[in-house]
Amino acid sequence: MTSLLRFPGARLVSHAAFVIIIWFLVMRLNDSVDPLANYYIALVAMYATAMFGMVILVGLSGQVSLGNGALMAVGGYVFAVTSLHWQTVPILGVPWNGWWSMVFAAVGGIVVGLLIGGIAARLRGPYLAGLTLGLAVGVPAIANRFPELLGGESGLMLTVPYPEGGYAPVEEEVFVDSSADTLSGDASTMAVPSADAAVSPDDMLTMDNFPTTDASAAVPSVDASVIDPGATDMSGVDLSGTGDLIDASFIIERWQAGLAITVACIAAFIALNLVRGRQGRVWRAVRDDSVAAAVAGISPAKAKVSAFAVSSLFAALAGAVFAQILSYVGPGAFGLGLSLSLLVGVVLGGRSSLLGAVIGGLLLVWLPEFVLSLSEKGGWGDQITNNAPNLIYGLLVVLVVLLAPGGIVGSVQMLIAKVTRRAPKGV
Amino acid sequence: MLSITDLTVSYGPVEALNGVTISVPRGEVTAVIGANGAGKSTLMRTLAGLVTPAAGQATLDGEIITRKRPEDIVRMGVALVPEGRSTIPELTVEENLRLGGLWRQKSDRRTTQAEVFDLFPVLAERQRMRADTLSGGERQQLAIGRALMSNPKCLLLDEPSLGLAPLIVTQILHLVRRLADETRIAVLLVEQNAVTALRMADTGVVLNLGRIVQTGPAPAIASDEKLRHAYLGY
Repeated sequence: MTSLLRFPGARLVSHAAFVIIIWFLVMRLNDSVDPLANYYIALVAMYATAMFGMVILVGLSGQVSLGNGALMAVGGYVFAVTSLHWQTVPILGVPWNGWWSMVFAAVGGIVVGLLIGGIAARLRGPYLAGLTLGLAVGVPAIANRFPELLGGESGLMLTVPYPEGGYAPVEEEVFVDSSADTLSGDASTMAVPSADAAVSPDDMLTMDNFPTTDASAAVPSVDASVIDPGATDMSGVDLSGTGDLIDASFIIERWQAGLAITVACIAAFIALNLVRGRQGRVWRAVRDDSVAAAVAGISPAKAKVSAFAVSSLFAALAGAVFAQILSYVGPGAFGLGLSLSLLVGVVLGGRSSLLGAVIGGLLLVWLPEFVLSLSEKGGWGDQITNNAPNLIYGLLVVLVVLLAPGGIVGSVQMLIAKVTRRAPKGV
Repeated sequence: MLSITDLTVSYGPVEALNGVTISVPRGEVTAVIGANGAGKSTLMRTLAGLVTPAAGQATLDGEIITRKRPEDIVRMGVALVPEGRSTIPELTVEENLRLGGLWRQKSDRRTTQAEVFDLFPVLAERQRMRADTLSGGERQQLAIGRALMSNPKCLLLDEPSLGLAPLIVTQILHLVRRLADETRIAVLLVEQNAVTALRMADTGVVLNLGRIVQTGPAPAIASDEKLRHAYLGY
């Protein structure tokens, strides 16, 4: 692409143009589908954002991470805590809004990434996997140590910052019990999920109780059911007549998906420039031969730490988006399962390709749905239905590692290379 | 000029190098020869900063290069071509070359790259191909070219003949000779292939079990039968 245009910054411009076109197309798609599809798009974009970081960390710099879900938790919690407690931006004094929380989540991600990267750069192979596994298990549990600030096991509810006049300040949260007020449609009124209904990624993926699309269309307060997919009684409940607070044409899922798409595109732009530029070469050089890289004047330690920091930045952004999709943060939402699915998605999609991250995101959202539809046809029991996606993930990973180590994207590249009889190109 | 003085390196209780002193003037090729385990690679790794010496030091034009980080040593003008070539398989030839001079000004890098292509025309032909599609000899040229991208004053070559056909070995070593003559770089070469190495080197150093046994003009070392029998085993 860049070989045609050779002026300073050509690469930057072509990447920007590419990302803007993709953003425009996906936003158009987002506006033309129903809220359930909006919701799926939001999840795919959120996964893709996190997995851009995985591609850089695992694919390019060669550091296996089982803990990027924990880094997402950092972003999610920073978003939740800052948006719940801060009315103005410290020092600047300007009113707080959701974008500030996103910025702080990103900064938090980078800081934590630098810290962990500094340790991780000294470890390799199984030891690095061990460290990151510890993160995946340990970080979400920190919430339990600070129940006042972080909400403990039951997590924190947060009000989705409605886009009245842009990305408006977050209203103060109001906790109510999940009975009558839930249906009032007031944006600041949220159902508190019961302990067993705490949202886990699996719940979010299978979405067995997601309200039918007709019921949720044009209903502004449908986010109440999004945060609490365990509440079976939510579907089919008549939610009409609740549009007094905001425009009835406002669809929260569509807005959430738009946010997720925008963040994913920003992340994609950053990632494209890093991966295809000099930093990408540095990462791959250190991964393939750190001695050769060192004697070529590259610091392997710096390269490894920077990969961690970038990956952590993307994970934190994804976590902040996730928090807004769920209107909730909690230890269950950012558990080991999430970390593992990020790794699975990236391995399946193609671990050294940004396109692979998007494909991985699609797979992570689509596969559980596919299993669900199979189970409905086959009349499987709940036990099988709930565990089948994990089984299939496991099988797929084993198969991909054995038969197609480059994942979907790598295999397609190999195929193209065979057909055109040219050596496969680097990422 | 690269001067190594009394360099001692130990891995735990094992002394890999013991009081090694060598000087390599600019434009000359010094070949360090010796059997397996003589400490040849340790010498190279120490000079490149991958290993910290227990005692002694090395200087390049008076500047101390020992006990510094590898990436800083490269910036000071010492470039190592590691054993086994170690080009980055996934990157193209050109990308591999660029790695060698990432920290330099773009314009300087361009000039050096043109010089490298002049020296190794085969790299210019293959510049858009991935490094793992190159032959062993081409890869060795690429590894040397990458080292040259840092515009070094001193080039360290660790067993460039490893795994190459005899004809290619001769070609590579001739290229190294030309390099020293034309660019006035100081070349320190480590080789097991003593015959070929001594034929094109100016000075020969025989290393055995971490100590220098003999230093002298390369032809003299090559013709010293006792030395050959005792330390080089042929």
